[in-house]
Amino acid sequence: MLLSLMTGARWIPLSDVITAFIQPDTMNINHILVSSTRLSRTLMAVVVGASLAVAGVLMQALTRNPLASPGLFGINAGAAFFIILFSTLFTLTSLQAWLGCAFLGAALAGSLVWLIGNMGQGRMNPLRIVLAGAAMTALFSAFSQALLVVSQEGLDTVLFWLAGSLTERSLALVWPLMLLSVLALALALLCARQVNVLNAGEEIAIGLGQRLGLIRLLLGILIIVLAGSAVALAGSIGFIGLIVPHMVRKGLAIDHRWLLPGVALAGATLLLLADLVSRVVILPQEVPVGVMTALLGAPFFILLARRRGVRYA
Amino acid sequence: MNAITSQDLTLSYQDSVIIDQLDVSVPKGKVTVLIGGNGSGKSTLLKSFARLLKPQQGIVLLNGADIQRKATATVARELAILPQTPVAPEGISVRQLVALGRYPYQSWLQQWSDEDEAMVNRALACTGTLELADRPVDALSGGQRQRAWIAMTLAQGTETVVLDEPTTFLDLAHQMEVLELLRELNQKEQKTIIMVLHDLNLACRYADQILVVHEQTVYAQGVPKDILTEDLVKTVFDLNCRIIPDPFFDTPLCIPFGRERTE
Repeated sequence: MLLSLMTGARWIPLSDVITAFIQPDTMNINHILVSSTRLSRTLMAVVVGASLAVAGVLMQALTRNPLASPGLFGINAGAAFFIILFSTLFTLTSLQAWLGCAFLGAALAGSLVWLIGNMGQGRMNPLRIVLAGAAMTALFSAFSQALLVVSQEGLDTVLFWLAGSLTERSLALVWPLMLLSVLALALALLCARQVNVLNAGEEIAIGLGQRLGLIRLLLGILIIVLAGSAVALAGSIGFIGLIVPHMVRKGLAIDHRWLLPGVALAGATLLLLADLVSRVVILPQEVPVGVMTALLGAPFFILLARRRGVRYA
Repeated sequence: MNAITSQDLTLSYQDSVIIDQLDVSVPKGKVTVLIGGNGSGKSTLLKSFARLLKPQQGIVLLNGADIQRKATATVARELAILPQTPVAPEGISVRQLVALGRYPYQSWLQQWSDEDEAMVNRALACTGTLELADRPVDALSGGQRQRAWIAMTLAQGTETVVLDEPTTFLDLAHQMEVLELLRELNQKEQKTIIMVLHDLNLACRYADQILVVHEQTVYAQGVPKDILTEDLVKTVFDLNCRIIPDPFFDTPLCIPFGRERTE
């Protein structure tokens, strides 16, 4: 984290980082950089990374599908669509409006997928959730593309956001969403035992006296809040929600009481690292961090798929 | 005293009625086996006994109270269900799986007690899975895996245990192993065992009571000796057979004829 405070287009020595906290000097450019932008960026990376990874674990348990990721809820596509829609209809001036807009879109898409998954006879069908998510993603992406073709001025900002980035935003603007994520993370950690039981299958869970509908609703809300605020804060950052849960399962435990805190930590670390690298690879410019995670994640994902293939062959 | 009683019970999927206005009772402390043809509704009836399926009409009473109205955690302390061919989460160890059985006894505050630990160890010991405890479930053989699942339902410490075809996919030796275990639990701990079996001869050997599910209802119910007749097998399974007393166990032994032979 210290490294993250120091690194950037302008290298700030450790001593300055420390004094920026202890004795802030309003005239010192380094101090201002640290406390105004670098700090919020670092905290954002930690919160977003942890949120995405935890949302991934919950999604995989909810759908009982190891390849599920929070993106499957149509959350990224929904957020993107809302941003494009609102920035063409009205001119979004404040960043606050932007964030709210993205979160709203994410929540709406997520809730729609949830409702479709619960429609019809019988209980929620995980497969139907996956299908509804894919359909909703396609639908919202199509809307977004249609809007972008009609009005092109929004393209630049949207493109940057689509790739996922932790651009330096002031803490004053992002704290409500970050607080929401932290609360959702804490709640998720408390649900570990319930997730363990849910993970054993629907009939087993009912047999063990779990209130299945309630737990699924709770997890659905947690996923939407976690992934929705992550996508609003940092755009669509892929692979963290998919990869980190598998890494931690292999390395630490499959019991969610250990898995959940484990992935929160690993997700935060991974995104922080990816962000660090993305800041320095093409100085003085920056690569969007979403590109970095994809670069790191894709090879790992292929490895994972191959390993599983061998085991089941 | 009855463990489970159904009153005016109608079960259906979508629009097709599976069980129609059924009144039936399953006695406490006995081994009851449900038999019937494929698609007769044995499993469906069993599911409704364990609140996995909501009745369209009528009620299921567990120990005298409506199972749908009881708190589901309370039900889980009175009745355990092992569904047909459950799939364990990838990589879970036998001990972790069995420990899930203690879920109904835990709460946000009360996490893991000494009693939980003792019950898990007992369940592992009496199913002979103690030495497998640290192995992942997906690395076990079919028989071992089934014993691990039975251990999970035993860890629940319930008076009634409901099992849906616990012997499917097992070879004869492993089938016997599972059935012997269940009878032992019934005799030593007076557990009520309710299960679906396909093998008529094993059903007759291990059941105190048989429920024949046929034509959307319980077609016959009683001690195997009294109810398993050639006529019944002909009606329910559309199969010609001869029933003789088992020379060793004296329970009915069904010798099925093929199409070629009717006598």
